[in-house]
Amino acid sequence: MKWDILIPIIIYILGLFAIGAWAFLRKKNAPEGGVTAEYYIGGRTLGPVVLVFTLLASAASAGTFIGVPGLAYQGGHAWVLVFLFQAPAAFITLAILGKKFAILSRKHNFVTITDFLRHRFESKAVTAFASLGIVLFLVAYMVAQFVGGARLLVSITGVSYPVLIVAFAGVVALYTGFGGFMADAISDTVQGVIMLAGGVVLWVAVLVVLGGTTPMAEQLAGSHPDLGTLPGPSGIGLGDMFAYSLQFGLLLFALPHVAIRAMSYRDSKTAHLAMWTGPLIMAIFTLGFGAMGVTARVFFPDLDIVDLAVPNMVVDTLPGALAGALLAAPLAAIMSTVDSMILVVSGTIVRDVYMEYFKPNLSDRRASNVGTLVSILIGVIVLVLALRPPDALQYLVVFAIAGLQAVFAVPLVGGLYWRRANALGAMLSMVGGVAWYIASTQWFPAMAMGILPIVNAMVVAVLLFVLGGYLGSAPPRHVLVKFWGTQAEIDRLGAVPQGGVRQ
Amino acid sequence: MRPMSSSDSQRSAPVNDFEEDPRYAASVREAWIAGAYWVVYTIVVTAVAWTLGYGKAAEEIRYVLGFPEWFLWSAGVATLVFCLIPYVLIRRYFVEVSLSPHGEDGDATTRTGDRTTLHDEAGDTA
Repeated sequence: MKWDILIPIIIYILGLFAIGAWAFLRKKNAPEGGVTAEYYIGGRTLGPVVLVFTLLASAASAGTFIGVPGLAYQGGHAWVLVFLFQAPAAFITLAILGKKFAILSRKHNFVTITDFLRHRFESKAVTAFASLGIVLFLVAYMVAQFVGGARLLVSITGVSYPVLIVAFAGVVALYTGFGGFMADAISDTVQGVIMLAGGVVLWVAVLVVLGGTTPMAEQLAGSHPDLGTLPGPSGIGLGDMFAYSLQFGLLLFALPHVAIRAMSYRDSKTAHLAMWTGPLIMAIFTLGFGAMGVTARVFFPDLDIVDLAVPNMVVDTLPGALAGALLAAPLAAIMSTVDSMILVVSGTIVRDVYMEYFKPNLSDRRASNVGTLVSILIGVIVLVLALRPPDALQYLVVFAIAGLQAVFAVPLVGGLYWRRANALGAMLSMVGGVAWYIASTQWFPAMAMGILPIVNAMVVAVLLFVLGGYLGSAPPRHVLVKFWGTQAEIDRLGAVPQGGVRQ
Repeated sequence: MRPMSSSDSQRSAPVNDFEEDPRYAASVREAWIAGAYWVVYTIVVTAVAWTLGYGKAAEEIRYVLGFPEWFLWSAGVATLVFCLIPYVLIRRYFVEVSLSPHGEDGDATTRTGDRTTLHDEAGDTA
């Protein structure tokens, strides 16, 4: 075991517990009626710094810090360019869901994405399908993140796999379960700052070792000339550029754990600040760590596990304690994605399943306590699955991100901005989009028509949504008032008995 | 305003007999701006990289500041420019509105047509 590397990681974990405890006390003191909102979206009080980092950390996950450098190590600079398309994610997410999403969530007290869909489409089928998608895809994705992260750590720290899994999944379950969204958001921020500072330190150390950028380029061009070509070993074409930009640039807002952040901020000013600082920070992350993957080729010409490119660079060029601090960061990237997912799944189970079908009259404080219990339970389930990942899981993982995008992107935007949008369209588009995606990746590659399947799946989802909108009946008046009217109109709605309108 | 019976709403156009929240119009515009931004961003970054670097043999690639020239211009310069553009878009076109259900400052948010004054007035309400 390498204690000099482990000690900063342990300190970091203790810090997470402190944050969790602080957030737990904050929730305890929240007024009745606001406890559940405090637990799942931080009581809509996020300021700009926390908003930026929690948005980026939830969206970026381990891919940015481990996966992309690994691809760049193999495929060269072209892969870094491709993943840079995620840079404007904060701007696009907050602008597309927009202030309307934030205002609606305050008017109707939404704390989950499914809350929004339930009120907008008033269809049990839509709600059930959305909940199912969230639970299945996100649980699978969480397990995959832990498995990947723990395997990397095994090779670096020498600690055994089960111990690592239990430690990390346990830590995340506890601080997320008790601390809720605020613990999640604040730890994302701490982690983001570590990543930024750590990335700069790493680059300085690497350039000192190599003697500057010119020797770096010479060594790279000398020993691995193909890495700097376009497309080079990556083999990327124009269609891929568009598809990746669609999936990681435009559609990140549709991931439930990202979208939820668009209800969590304090005011317009906060959103605006996050919108223009977010792209810069995300670009620095992606470019810094991605290009580091290419440079790693100079240091380690033939790694077996390409995902070890950046971790190896860290251990090799930085002194032990500093290396540990920096390695805590990719782990934190995993944790920060997983913690936000746990909360989304927990919110879905409590609000969209438990309260919908079993206990509709649960009090606010009780609901948030049930939430804590469910969150910890999900953490434990993920832990057990990660110890011995079932084979079926990898199929779900492959579809997870694109599947969620195919399910949620169109109903979210359509429901927000198109009056005709109705339950028929939402249902057709959710089922059709995800079915097309799975069919074209698994069984019928011809359906993808030579481009990444996500593009066609989205086109199908949009067409079905519009088709359903015109074939089915227009949404009832009270839904339109709730989603377009002033608060005064909504209040007037409450005065008139609504019996029978719902079905 | 005309009375609506529930059967009337079947297959007809959505009703429009209530007062709209004026803050939503700005959201629609801002969403379109973000969509347009994404299209231009994707095209420009791709075009720069492809024009400068696509299909070139390894010997032809020039390195500047440690990176291939095409990469420096697309992933570096073009991306940096597009990371700064949101600042300009927000300053010029995005509106600061109250997010509370009633909207604290009704006046400032109703005149969505006049962007500059709207922006200035709403600045101190947030």
